[in-house]
Amino acid sequence: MRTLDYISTAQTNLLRTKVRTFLTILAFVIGTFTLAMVTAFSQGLRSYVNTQLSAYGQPNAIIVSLGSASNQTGPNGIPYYQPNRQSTITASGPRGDKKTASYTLNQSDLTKIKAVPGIIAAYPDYVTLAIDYAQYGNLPKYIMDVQGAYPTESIALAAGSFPTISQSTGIVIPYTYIQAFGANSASQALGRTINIQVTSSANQPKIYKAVITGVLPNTAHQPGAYLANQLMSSMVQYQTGTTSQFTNIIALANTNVTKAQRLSLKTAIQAKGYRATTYDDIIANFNQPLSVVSAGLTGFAAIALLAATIGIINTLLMAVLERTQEIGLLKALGMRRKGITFIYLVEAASIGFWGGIIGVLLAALVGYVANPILNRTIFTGIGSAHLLTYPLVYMAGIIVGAMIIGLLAGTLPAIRAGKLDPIEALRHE
Amino acid sequence: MKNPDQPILKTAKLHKSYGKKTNRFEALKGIDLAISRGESIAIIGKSGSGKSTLMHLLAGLDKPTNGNVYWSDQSISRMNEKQITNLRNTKVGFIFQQFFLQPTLTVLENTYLPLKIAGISSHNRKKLAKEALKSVDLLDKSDNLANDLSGGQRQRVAIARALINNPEVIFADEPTGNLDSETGKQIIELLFSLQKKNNITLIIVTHDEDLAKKCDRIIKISDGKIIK
Ligand SMILES: Nc1ncnc2c1ncn2[C@@H]1O[C@H](COP(=O)(O)OP(=O)(O)OP(=O)(O)O)[C@@H](O)[C@H]1O
Ligand SMILES: [Mg+2]
Repeated sequence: MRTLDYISTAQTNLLRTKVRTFLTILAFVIGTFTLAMVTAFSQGLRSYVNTQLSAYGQPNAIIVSLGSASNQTGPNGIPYYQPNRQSTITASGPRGDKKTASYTLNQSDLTKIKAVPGIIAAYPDYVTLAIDYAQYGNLPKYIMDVQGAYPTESIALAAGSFPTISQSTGIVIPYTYIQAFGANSASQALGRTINIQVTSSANQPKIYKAVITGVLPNTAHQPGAYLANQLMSSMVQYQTGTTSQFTNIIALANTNVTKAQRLSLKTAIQAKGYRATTYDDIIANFNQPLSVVSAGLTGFAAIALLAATIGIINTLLMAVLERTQEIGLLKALGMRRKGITFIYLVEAASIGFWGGIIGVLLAALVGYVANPILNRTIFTGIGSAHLLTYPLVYMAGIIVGAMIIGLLAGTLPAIRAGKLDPIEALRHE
Repeated sequence: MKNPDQPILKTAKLHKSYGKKTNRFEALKGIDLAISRGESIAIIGKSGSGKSTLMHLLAGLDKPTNGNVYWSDQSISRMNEKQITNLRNTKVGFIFQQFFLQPTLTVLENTYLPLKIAGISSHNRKKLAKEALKSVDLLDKSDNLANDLSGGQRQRVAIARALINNPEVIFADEPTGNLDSETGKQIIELLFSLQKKNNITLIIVTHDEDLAKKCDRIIKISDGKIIK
C-alpha cells in the first residue's frame, strides 16, 4: 500500500468505532492538555519572573563581597573569619531611627576588583543609605528606598533613561511614585526636580536636589529609586562621614558578556578572596523552585498519559480481535505481515496525534480566554506579555511525543495483528 | 518464453499434517497433481477429506509438511514471505463461500482492494475496478456499501475483486455454498464465461455435482488422497 493509503485507511478504521475512538482519544487529551498547560504556565512564569528580576539586576553586574583570604574556604565554600576587616557605622534612618552597618570592604578591595581582567569598572555599593523623605514642590513628603545606579544599567525603562556621567544629580524613580511627584504619566515626570532629605550621624538634616531622568517599568514589585552614582556618594559621605568603606562592590563587565564569561569572571573574583554573585545566581535562585514545581506537574501529566497509553493498547487489541477476519482477507489478497503491522501502528500514532492536537488546541483556547483576565487581575504589570505562553516548538513537541507514545502503545497489538495466520484468521468468527 | 504445455501448477508428494504427536492428523497423504494453464478443475470429496487444505497449499496460504508446490516450476517452499504474498497479490484470485467483503467499504473499494495492497494509484485502481464491476454487471452499485447487497451480488463483487489483478489462477472454495441454486447457477455461468474470456486457470472446491461436471477435469479426494 502507499503511505497515503495507510494513513487514510487508519483514519477510516478509527471512524468505524466512533465512540470507542472518541473515548480513547479523550483519555489522551487529558494527558496532553495537562502537559500543554504545565508547559504554558511554567514557560510564562519563567519569563514573567525574568522580567520582574530584570528590574533588580543587570546581566553584566557582579555583586562582590568579602570572602576568605587567598582563596581558602571551609567546608561547602564557607569563608573563614578575617580579623581587622570589620568596622561599624551607625546612620540615622527615616523617622530618626538608627541604622547600623558593618563594612568589610574598602578602596584597596575596589582597586583589586577593577584589576580583574574582563571587569571594566567597579563601584562601591552603599546598601545602607537611608533617606528621610522625597518631595516634589509642596506635595506631601514620601518615604523612598534608594540605591546607586551604575553605568551600563540595562533595565528597560517606562520612560527616560538612566543618568549619564554628566547628569550627576539624576534619579530614576519607581513607577509607583509618578503620582506622588505630581505627574500623570511616566514621561510627564521626566525633568522634574525633587528634594531628598538626608540626616547625618550628627543628626543634621540636609536637602539634596535630584532631577528625574527616568521612570522604572511597571513591574509587580518595585525596587527603590536609582540615584546617579555621584549623588549617591555625596549623600553617603554626608550620612556616614565616609565613602571609603562599604559592604559590597558592584563589578561591571561588558554589556554583551555571555553566561560562560560571567561564570569565569565569578571564578576569577573568588580566586582573589571574595564572594561573587552573578545575575545567573539570582535568576537560578528563582528558577530552581519553578523547575521543581513544573517537574512535579509534568509528572502528573505523565501519569495521565500512562493511563491513556493503556487505553490505546486496549482499544487496538479489541480492534485486532474484531477485525481478525479482515486481516486474514488482507493477507490472502497479498498484504505482507509488515503491511498489517503498519496499519495498526499508524492507527495507534493517529490516536496519539489527534489526542495531541486536541489537547494542545484546548490548552491554547484556555490561554486565549484566561490571559487577558490574568493580566487584568493577578499578574498586572507585565504589559502585553502573557502569563500562559505556548511556544510553538514545545507544543509541536507535545504532539510528536503523543504520537510516539501512541506508536509504542500500538506495538504489541500491531505485531500481534501482523502475525495472524491467514487461514485461521479467515475462519475466525 | 513460457511453454504452453508446462503445467502452471504442480505438486509432488504433497503431505500436510496438523497437530503434534498423539494429536497428529494427516490431512493430505501424498498428492501428485499437474494443472495446465487455462484449465478448469473441480476438487470434490466428502467433508473433511482435505479439499480446502489442498487449495490453501496450492495458493501458498499454508506450507506443506512434506513435498512441494510448484508455480511454473518454481517451488513455493523456497519463496520467502515477500515472494509468496507478492505471488498471491499478482497471480491469484480468491473467491470464498462467505464472500469476505468488507461491510463498511463500498462495492468499488472492495473491488480494488488487491490493487490498493499492490500500491496502485487511486486513479488507476478505480478505473480498473469499474471495468471489473462492469464485467460482472454491477457498475451501477459501485458506490453502495457491500452490506447493502444481496448474496448473489456480493459474490459477483467477490468475482470482480478476484479478477481485478488479472490473475493466472482463481481459487474458489465452495463459491455457491451460500447461494440458492438459481443464483448459484448464474454465478457459475459468469465465472466460466470470464474464465474462458481471460484464459484463467480455475480451481473450484465444491460439493455441487452439476458445477463439477462443467469443469474440464474432476479430482476426487478421499481421506487425503486423490482417488480419481
Ligand atoms: N488447523 C487445523 N488443525 C487441525 N486439523 C485441521 C486443521 N485444518 C483442517 N484440519 C483437518 O484436516 C482435515 C481436512 O480439512 P479440510 O478443511 O481440508 O476439509 P474439506 O475437505 O475442505 O472439508 P469441507 O468440505 O467440510 O470444507 C479435516 O479433518 C480437518 O479437521
Ligand atoms: Mg473446505
